[in-house]
Amino acid sequence: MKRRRAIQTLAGISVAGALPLPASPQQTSVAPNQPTGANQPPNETPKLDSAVAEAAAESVPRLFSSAQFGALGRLAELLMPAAGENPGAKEAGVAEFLDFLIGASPADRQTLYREGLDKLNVEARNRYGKHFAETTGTEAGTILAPLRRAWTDESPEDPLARFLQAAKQDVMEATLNSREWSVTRAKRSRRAGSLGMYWYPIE
Amino acid sequence: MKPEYDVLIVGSGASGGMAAWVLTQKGVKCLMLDAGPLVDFERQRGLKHVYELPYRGFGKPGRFPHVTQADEFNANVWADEKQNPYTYDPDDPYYWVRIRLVGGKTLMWGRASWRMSDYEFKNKDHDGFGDNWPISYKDLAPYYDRVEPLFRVKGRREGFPQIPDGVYLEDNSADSESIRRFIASAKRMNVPTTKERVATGQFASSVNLLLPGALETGNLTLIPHAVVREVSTDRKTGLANGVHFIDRRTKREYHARARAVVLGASCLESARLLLNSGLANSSGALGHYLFDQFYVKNVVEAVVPEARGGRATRELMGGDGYIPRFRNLDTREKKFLRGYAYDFGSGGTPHPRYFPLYGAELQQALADVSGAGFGMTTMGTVLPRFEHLVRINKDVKDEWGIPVLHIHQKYTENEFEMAKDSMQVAEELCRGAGFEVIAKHWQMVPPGESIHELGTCRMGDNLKTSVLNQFNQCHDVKNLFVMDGSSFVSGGSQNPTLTILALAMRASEYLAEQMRRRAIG
Repeated sequence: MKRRRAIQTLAGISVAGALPLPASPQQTSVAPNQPTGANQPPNETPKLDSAVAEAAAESVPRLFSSAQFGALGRLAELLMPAAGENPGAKEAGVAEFLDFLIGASPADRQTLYREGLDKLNVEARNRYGKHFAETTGTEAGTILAPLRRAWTDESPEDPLARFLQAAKQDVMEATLNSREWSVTRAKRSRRAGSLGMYWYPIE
Repeated sequence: MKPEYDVLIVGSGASGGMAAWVLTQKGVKCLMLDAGPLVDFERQRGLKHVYELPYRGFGKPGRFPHVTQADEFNANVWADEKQNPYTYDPDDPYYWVRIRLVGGKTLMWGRASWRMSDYEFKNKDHDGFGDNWPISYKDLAPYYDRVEPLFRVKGRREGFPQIPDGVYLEDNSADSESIRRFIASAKRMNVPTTKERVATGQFASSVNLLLPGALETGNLTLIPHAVVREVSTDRKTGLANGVHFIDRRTKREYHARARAVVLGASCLESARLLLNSGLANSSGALGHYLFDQFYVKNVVEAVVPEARGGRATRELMGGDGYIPRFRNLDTREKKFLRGYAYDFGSGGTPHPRYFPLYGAELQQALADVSGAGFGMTTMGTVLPRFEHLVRINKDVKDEWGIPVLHIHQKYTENEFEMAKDSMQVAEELCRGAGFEVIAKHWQMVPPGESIHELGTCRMGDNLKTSVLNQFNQCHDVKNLFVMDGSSFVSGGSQNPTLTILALAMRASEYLAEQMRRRAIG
């Protein structure tokens, strides 16, 4: 796996800059304070560790308007709050991730989300004179009432209910599959629950 | 001049792999063509954290609209839907799930290995619908006997006539208390249960169980990346003399020659190849009688009350089992013909969608039922009907310029009534075991999604209503065989792969014998 990650890392930068150069005579004598990597045998490719971008940088929302994004952040926080040591949707950057995921999705899914988030804001304004992002838990609870309807195998006719069902599933999955969730769980258990067998592209 | 092979095999999955395994051991020189690449399992698979994947495990949106089995870990396994399009009527969607790699769908199959019985092979005698197969169970039993050890099938012998016993690695594992309670509930309702019968081993594929042995004989030449366009024939004799194929990567055209041709390209790809070749259709039956198995996933979702609140111990929870068909064996249902089976499993946590909650309340509810779930899935018999068919859509072509299939199949009243019945019985079984039923439904997955598509080149004794004879040999072209699931006359609630393997073994031995006698080739 580390070898594979190293190849992926190398793929993003220039070959000349990435591949190890043949050792020069000077390089063969290692100074005491040189990093251990300098001991890399000259004919082996290095195994470099890398990080995911989400670990180091803020994701820039591109799809939703600021009002929609604010509603999504609040909705995600309500659907999957932090609990004890477990991070919630907010800590897992779920709103930012869903802005990206839905932005890459077919038009009908984008419409479902956009209209659903607009509806949350309309309901919040009509009932409480504020954006959904500013609602209290109790206020939001009245708007999220469709989530308290018993499950059926039929898709709800009400577009808001359809959106909320989709968002409930997406927010949970995006939280549980996040780096933050995995790191927190790994502290408590030696089992790496987020690991799976990945098939690379085959020719 | 390139060599002429004895037999050219199209496809390397269950049927193609079995054909190669049998024929090469009898000294028959085979050429195998597969449309996909050869997987290097060391280089092309590796462990990753889900958060390392670009879409956090959701997968690239819209990449696989018809492959619900695809996730971001295995997305590169499934056939690309844009390169390999097909069409259907918008009101009757069909989910065609394909793998284009050497080994085919045996790389990902569920390994369930059930024999079919004369309730299927002689179904017309039993209930009057459709047609019998030209073979009976006793014709195929000796081949099942040899396939099961090859695929190391584990199971328990029960004496049920609807799923005849086989040659198993005996499964004597103990049941958890929840499973024992469920079995007792089933007994009270006269519903049979047994252990699952599954192929075992780290891998149970054509790639590790069939192809290595065939290659070791020195009689098999395997060519990946070979997209077969058409079966070619001799103008004078009308016999097959090879195939035209296209290199998947370069689109370079080739022709390979052989004395006989075996199609094991998968049910619908074999039908497509014959239709595009203009062969084997004097009956007008080619492409018709498409069916599969219907699935009602999680027909009932239950909770074992004693396992709530963190008490889901190994003694109480865990394990699985199978309920074979029990309807329309000795009695006659009023609302539907034939029957269905269930998989059942204990343990796991019910899906959040079943709880009308969100936020902290939902997390609390899920923690309470963690490991306490009990689920059942229905697998039902689908009636083969002439009007359910595939045909060539000349207006749409795949990446290699080959006309695609238009697929028409939908479920009918018989399947709907069966699905409803399965929901009611599942609920009674769970309640009888003292489980809390938290959700139930009878919504079937779309046709095709079970990946058990069958029919379209069915066998039969009547040349006017069938494409193949009882040895999977084309009535019209004597040196052309179709050995995959397309040859099925009917199906049952049993998963079909074991029967495909047994049929391919039987047909391949027949072909080898015909070649030895020079009746073919």
